[in-house]
Amino acid sequence: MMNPLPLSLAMARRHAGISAVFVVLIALAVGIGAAITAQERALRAGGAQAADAFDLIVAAPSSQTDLLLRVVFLQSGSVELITGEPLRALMAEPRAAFVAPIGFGDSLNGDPVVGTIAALVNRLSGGDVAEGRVFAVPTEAIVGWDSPLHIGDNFRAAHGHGAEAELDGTQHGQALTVVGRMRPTGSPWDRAVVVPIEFTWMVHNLGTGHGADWDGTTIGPPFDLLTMPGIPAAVVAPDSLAAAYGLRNAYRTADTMAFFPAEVLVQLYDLLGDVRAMMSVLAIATEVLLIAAVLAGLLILMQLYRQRFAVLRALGASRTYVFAVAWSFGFGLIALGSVLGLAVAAALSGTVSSLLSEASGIALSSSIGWTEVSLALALAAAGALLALLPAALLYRRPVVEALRNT
Amino acid sequence: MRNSFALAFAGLLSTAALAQETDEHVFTAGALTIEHPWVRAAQAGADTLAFAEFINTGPADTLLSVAAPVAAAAEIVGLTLEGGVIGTVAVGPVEIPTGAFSFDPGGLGLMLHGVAEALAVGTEIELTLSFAIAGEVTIHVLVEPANAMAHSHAH
Amino acid sequence: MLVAEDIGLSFADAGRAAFTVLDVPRFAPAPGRVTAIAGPSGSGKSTLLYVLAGLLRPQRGRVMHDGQDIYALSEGRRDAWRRHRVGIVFQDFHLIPELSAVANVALAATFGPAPDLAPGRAAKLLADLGVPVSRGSVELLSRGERQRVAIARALLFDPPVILADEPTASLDALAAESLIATLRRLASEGRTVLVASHDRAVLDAGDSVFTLRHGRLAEAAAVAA
Repeated sequence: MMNPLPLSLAMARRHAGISAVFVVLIALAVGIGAAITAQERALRAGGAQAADAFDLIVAAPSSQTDLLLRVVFLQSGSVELITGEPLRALMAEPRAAFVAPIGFGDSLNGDPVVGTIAALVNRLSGGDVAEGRVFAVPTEAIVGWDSPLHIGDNFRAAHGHGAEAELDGTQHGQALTVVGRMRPTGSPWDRAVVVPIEFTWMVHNLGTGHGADWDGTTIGPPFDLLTMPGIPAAVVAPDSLAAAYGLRNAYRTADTMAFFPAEVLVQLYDLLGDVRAMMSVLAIATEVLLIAAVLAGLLILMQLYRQRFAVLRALGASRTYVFAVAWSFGFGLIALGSVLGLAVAAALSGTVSSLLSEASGIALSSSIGWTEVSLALALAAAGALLALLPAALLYRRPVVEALRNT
Repeated sequence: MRNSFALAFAGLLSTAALAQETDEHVFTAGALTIEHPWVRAAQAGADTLAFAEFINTGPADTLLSVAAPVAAAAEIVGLTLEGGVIGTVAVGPVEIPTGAFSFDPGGLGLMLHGVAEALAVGTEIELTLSFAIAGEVTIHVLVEPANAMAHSHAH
Repeated sequence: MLVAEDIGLSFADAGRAAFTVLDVPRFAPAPGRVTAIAGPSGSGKSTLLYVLAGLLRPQRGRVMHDGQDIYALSEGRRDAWRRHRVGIVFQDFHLIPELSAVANVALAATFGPAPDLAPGRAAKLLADLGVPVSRGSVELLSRGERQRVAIARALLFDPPVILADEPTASLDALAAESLIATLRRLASEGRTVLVASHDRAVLDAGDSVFTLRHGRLAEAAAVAA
């Protein structure tokens, strides 16, 4: 049967260098294009995974995106406080399983120290903790899964974050003891030190959150609604699905805003999608240019081979055979490049994901999916079409004319 | 002009009793006022979401169901984030408390499954909402762009 | 039996009178003999071979092989006819340098549907011609060996017709002598062997010699004698 492979492989062997360059360039172009979409998917999944346990966020009216970054992704920055009557109504909300105030502002060796209540710790940690227990008195802390601290460690938190904390140099007088470790959340909370909200309030001289008759050790709700300090945000766990939407509606007022992390993520993902689309267009443009260059290279190469193909015709090969040799060579280069591109994409997005995870604290796992495979397939299909051109030119070339040029 | 023609046209087609219409996109039924309902543009056969704002001057009512002649099926849904996947889930009847309550892209919505024909921006469709107290009300819903996050009408 | 009848072929350049390349009333190289065609460069020797091989359709006349007009065949059938019934040998061998000698010889079996060949046929053809069989590129072989690889390639499907275009022009005298002996042996086995050459040694070995001048063929045996 007709088998053009021995000859197209022979061509590839003869031009191993230039063939390899073609394949590598195509692999890089496909790899970058596919890595972009794989990375976007990883970011979407990672962001959603990180926000999963934060049911409803209630805060003073401001930017939902900023609040999401503060509460879920623990980015530093200033936040308005909920105070007064709206705060009292929120803390007494009957439709909530718990209302967890969040207190920011401290850090330990660059990792955030966050104040809240035990119920949120349990929720984030998936019901139970990985090691030890949740804090039970104001001077105990539980650390995130990736925290370098260990149970039994004692430390003093510094006021502020990062450079601010170093410049300030202020350390809170009260020492804390690590009593437990949370399960992984896939969010920057994995690097955090979580302390009782009372601790945060006390070291910032905001009171205790409890009445004058407080014993000094019992922590968590109920708080004293008259004396508790204002809070930058609360995570509200609704007691039912229906309650979630009711609570969201109830706290969208002039004094408070309420939102699901998902609704902010959806908007961020739209933006991310736009960026991805733009980068994909660039990547595709690169691929198109590259294919054009490969095609030009193939045309030149085919000129070198026109006599050989004429000889094949003289030996009894049909036009179709000559066409098949030229086409399979061109298509082979592009197809091989496309397939290798997926490997490049996997390596590239794996590397970028781990770098981003390291920098952001969001657990990212990228994988090559159908989108990337179909991108590579599309390019291979385009290659199958484009390789027709040099093949067709050879196909049409008169045999005798090429034979004479000996 | 165009809107009034569209409304007149929709009115001709409609056999259902229309709610009393106080403004182009404000509908009332009992103690309920439904303001600025809108729906995202969609291709024929696709699913899409409709949203609206409710003002309830009476006691809490319940939105029991939604019917859409243009869609194969319609239901009340809410945005969810479950296991790291963002999507929507059918939530069944929803209480409309006294005061303002909104169905918006970040929370609750009315999912129209499989619209029979393409919904083009600027056109209108009809939805019939069934309330426990206020009863049935048919509203005209303006089609907004597929990526819209809010009604385009300025208040 | 290969017969060219009333072949006419001319090239017309713009603003110039038509230039006659071939004007051959009848040419029938006999099976079992070596037929040589002499003539200076550009006299149309190669063109005549191409016409006989079904590679170049003449403007007039026809080429019959065993009663079949080969230019009446579809192109695909003509390709298959050439593949199985005609062996071509070139001056510059035109082997595929990336392939081994055996792969070069067996190449035509990959061109399309082919009769079952005996296993090891390519290697046997090479061995019969005294070419060492190795996995290496044919470029490692001497020029004489390479031309013998080309002969073996031409013989893959045991064709009744062998067309050779200046087969000794790239060979030294010793290799040329060996090649001529091979061509004579192929003819003695009943094949039609047609050689275009201006090599005296080849012409001397021809059972009959024709001269091609201005596209016309003349029996030149008397001249050679």
